[in-house]
Amino acid sequence: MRGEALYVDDLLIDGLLYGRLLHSERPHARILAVRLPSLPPTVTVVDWQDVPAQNQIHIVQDDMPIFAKDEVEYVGDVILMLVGPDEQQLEDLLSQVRIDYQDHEPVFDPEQSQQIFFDYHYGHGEVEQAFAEADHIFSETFHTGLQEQAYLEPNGLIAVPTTRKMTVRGSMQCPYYVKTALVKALGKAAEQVQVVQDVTGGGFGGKEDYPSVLACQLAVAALKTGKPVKCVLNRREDMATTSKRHPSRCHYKVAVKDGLVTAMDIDVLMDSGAYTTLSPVVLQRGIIGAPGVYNTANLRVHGQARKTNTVPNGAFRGFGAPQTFFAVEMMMSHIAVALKQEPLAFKARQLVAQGDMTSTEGRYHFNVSLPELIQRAEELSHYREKRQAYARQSEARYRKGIGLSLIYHGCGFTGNSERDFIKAVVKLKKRRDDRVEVLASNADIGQGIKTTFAKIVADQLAIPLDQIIVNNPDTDLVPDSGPTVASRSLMTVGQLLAQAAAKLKQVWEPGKEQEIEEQYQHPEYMIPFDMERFAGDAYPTYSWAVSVVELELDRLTGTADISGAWGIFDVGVPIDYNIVQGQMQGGFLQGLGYSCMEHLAYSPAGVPQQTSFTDYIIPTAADVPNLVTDLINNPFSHGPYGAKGAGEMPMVGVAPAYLEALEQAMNCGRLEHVPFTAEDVLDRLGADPDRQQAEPDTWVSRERKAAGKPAAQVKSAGGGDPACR
Amino acid sequence: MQMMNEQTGIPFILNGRPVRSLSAPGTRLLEVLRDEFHLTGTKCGCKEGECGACSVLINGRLVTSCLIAVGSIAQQAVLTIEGYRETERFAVLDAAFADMAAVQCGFCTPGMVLATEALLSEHPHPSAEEIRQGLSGNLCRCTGYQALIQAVRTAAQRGAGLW
Amino acid sequence: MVNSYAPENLSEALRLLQAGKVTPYAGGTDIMVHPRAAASYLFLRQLPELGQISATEQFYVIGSTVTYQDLLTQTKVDLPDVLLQACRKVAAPPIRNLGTLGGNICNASPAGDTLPVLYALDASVRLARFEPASVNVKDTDGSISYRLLPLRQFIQGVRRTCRQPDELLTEILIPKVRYTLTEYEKIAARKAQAISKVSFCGAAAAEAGQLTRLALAFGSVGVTVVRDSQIETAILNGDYDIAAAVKAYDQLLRPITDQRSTAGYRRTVCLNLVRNFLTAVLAQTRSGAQVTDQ
Repeated sequence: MRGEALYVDDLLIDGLLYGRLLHSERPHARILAVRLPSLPPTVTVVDWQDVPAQNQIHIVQDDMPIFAKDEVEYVGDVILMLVGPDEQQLEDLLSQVRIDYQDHEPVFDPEQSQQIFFDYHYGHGEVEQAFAEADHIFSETFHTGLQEQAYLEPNGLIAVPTTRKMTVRGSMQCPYYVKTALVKALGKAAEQVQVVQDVTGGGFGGKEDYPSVLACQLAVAALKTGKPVKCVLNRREDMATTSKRHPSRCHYKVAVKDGLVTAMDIDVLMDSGAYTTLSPVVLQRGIIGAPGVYNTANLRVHGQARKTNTVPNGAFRGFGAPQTFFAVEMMMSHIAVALKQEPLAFKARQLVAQGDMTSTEGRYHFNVSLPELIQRAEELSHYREKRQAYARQSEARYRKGIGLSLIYHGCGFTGNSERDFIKAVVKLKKRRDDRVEVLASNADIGQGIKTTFAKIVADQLAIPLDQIIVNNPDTDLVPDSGPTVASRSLMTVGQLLAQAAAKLKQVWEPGKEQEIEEQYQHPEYMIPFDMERFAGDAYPTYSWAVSVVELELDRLTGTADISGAWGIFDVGVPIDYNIVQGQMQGGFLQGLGYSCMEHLAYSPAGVPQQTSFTDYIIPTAADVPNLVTDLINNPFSHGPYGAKGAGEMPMVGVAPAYLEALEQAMNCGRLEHVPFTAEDVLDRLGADPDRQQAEPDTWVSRERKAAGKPAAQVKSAGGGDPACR
Repeated sequence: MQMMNEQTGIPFILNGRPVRSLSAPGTRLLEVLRDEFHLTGTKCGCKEGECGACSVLINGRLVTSCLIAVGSIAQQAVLTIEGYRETERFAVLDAAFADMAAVQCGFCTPGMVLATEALLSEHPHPSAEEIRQGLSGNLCRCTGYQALIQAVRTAAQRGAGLW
Repeated sequence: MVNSYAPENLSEALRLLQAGKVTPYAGGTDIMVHPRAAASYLFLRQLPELGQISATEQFYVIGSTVTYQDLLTQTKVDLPDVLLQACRKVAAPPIRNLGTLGGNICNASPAGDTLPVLYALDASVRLARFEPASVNVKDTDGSISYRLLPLRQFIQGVRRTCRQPDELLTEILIPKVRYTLTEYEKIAARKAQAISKVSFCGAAAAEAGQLTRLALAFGSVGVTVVRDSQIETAILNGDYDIAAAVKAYDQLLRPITDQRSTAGYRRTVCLNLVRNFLTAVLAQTRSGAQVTDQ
């Protein structure tokens, strides 16, 4: 608030050098030669030859090079770094470097890609039989686009070499991820690598894997020059070359019998980009959520992540879930309309409930609060009433619409990762002055985790909040309590801290130094997750949300004015009400951006086109609707004070609510992709408004006519109706 | 006529004190503030005038310091967060922003605070629409703006008479 | 080391401009997106001659370094509302406090927010240059020469104007004309801080059931703002009905696809907006006719 917080770009270090990166200009090519201009003696070139150990960055697998050696795989791949005392001079020199490339055929369309990075199958029940017995079969294909995290502080780090160790500090979410990557790249012992998080200006997933990349590049440079080296990306470089949300294509085939869904056959394809990075885990979460919040007795899910010659896609709030929840919510809504039912009523009849089986044959062990959330959403937004009223509008310039979606978010890591890989450890250190320091590796990236941790510990110990110290994590001081991802920090790590504090309270001796360590215990109630079969409890519990969007469409310009937005959330019990509300509102707005304005595309040459805040459009204060968020209490017995995961969920359900509202306003059939821009709206409405005759029933009548024939032959191709084009 | 270069320097008032920048006149004010005067409360988010993180007040008006050549502000008064935080008005904003949890990652905050000051100077009792407009040049990716709008409203109430 | 200058008056500024390679700097919001370290700037904002807003019997006169915010907050002159509407849509407060009307014109972007309005209102620009004094005459204000030309002539293409290197744009003149219907629309990807995908300005006057004046200008659909007198005349004379007018603009407009929008979208929106505006104009004219008939 006072402008005193020091972000990495604000730090002054003696003898500091700057590093600037040379990025590939080609999407897929062999490097034949690197032609450098004559360099002043103060400038050092750093490339793959300088990497002491492994020239691959450890993320999940180890396939992304620190510096490209022979091949570049996307426009933006890093070939070398120039290091020197004057940033402007480095920029000038970089512009004079010439690379001779031999181009290979690039692949930009994941559908055309032959390189399948990850391929998963799961399911249960008798899918074929359910389709054979169905009254109706619906099929449709959905697409979602890239999304840039657009944190206000760009990625940036400093590597500081000393005789004993390498220290990397700066903007990041996961200090221990960075540390592990550095240990492998440098071939050093764990104790010779230190990673420190500085004040971080937003992350949203965008500082989950990328800091490991930049850290390795800078550490190699620092090792070579023997000097501290800093690199803060400029905005265009950050937007053009760092990870984004995976674009997706989801194909759904759904059987309906007696007005209920009896089977889903789902095929999910995610565009991984040039390297695997976090794609396996993003894909896992995406496909586990693919059937949505509905009981599906017969289920078949197939998911793939394929390589394209584009920026590697990674983590972004929701982590695969926004893609598949968008698809399933649209699918359910479209089926309802086709069956001449109100979408919410249709969905509400088949919601999962406590004790039901999850998509992966686990159990919803705890209360499913959706009915309560729906009721609250209805009270606040008057959804049903408006939905009916807007169905009777005239074909005027402005038309209104309202839409609603139902989603969950699986809290914490998928499957057994907490138990098998993360094995979180936290410590509480009581000092002689009876102040207590929280030692955990979770980073405050604006989500307020420091405050929340402090509140938990203070409350357990029954001491004032100002007696609790929470510093930014330093791997030399804090144990590995895991990364700051997956809405796990509060629920999982916060719970460990609560337990540690309870123990400390029992042994508390005033004026004495004391230390308590607490280790992660996998909840006993969980059905073990079989990673091969995708069977068991994928998550310890679920947070739930209802999102409602109301808008007014200008049919002359295709622009939509969001006139109302409501998000009703069950995050268990909010520990800090204001912080949770802030998370819900911020996430919701990112969801609105994802729905209609955050358009990011590659040129035919594989160059990202919207790489500045001028062209990549995120909402301003003037674009925000009167956003209402509300929380209900649904305590989680295994979370601290009943808290569950929160941070990612508000993002997940916005796009389908927005699109359902837009469909109603456009009155022109089914919509099937996000972002759905003003350009898309006019495209769909048709160039000549005099010619527009809305035919909302096209899809329905086709289904109806076909209903008499053998059900298995009934098909509706996805992708909109010719009558509406 | 005034001729200026790195030797003549460029005189201006910085947070109430007369100073002289020895940067080239075409240098961004943002860089002069951060690199020459080490006032790092002014943040660099894009250098294209789009994000508002580098906002400062010049003669009381909100401007993006990345789009200003330091030579163009000779003799004028620049107020950054470092100067503003010493004021009584800041104390009101500080409390209101804290109470409404309007600060998340904090990177947009110095610019947002100065945008609020400019807004309240022009409209001591702003309407919701005036608040949205007043903050519309300052991007925030964390809060969804709701808490910020609440904080401005709260500050306007509590600080009645100050603006 | 290069010098930059902050002249005290117009005469000084023009002499500096004539003497050497200085870049005129008004609001700086375009120049500073890609600043050149070695640039020599001629700072203009402090010049009293360029910062005035006034009105004569025939014209509104706006100094070239008047900012959008100045235009919105001044109360001296009753400026055309449609111009103020455009100013309100420019970016956001921090940019409106810097950007100038003269800068918007000299930058000559087809997406300049105020340009369709200035085109529609038949604005002219006044340019000044310094005439080297003959040996016997001392420097006086009299040594500044001016020329006045229509804005539509001044702007020649994308970032191209017919300003000579030794000339400064000093004032923008907008004829005082009474319109009975005006409309300004800026279509952008968000409500603030955005570059327009398309902009449109329509201005019309009707008297006693007769359409007497019509101006239709489109931004971001050509190398400059598009305005076509032939089509306007054909509409005024009743040679074109709305459908024919829309068809004529369909043939005229040359939008492109870029990172902000598509050619098809830009064309469709323009045609929708002009159709909508002409429909409103026609309705107003007819209702005027009915009133006159009574």
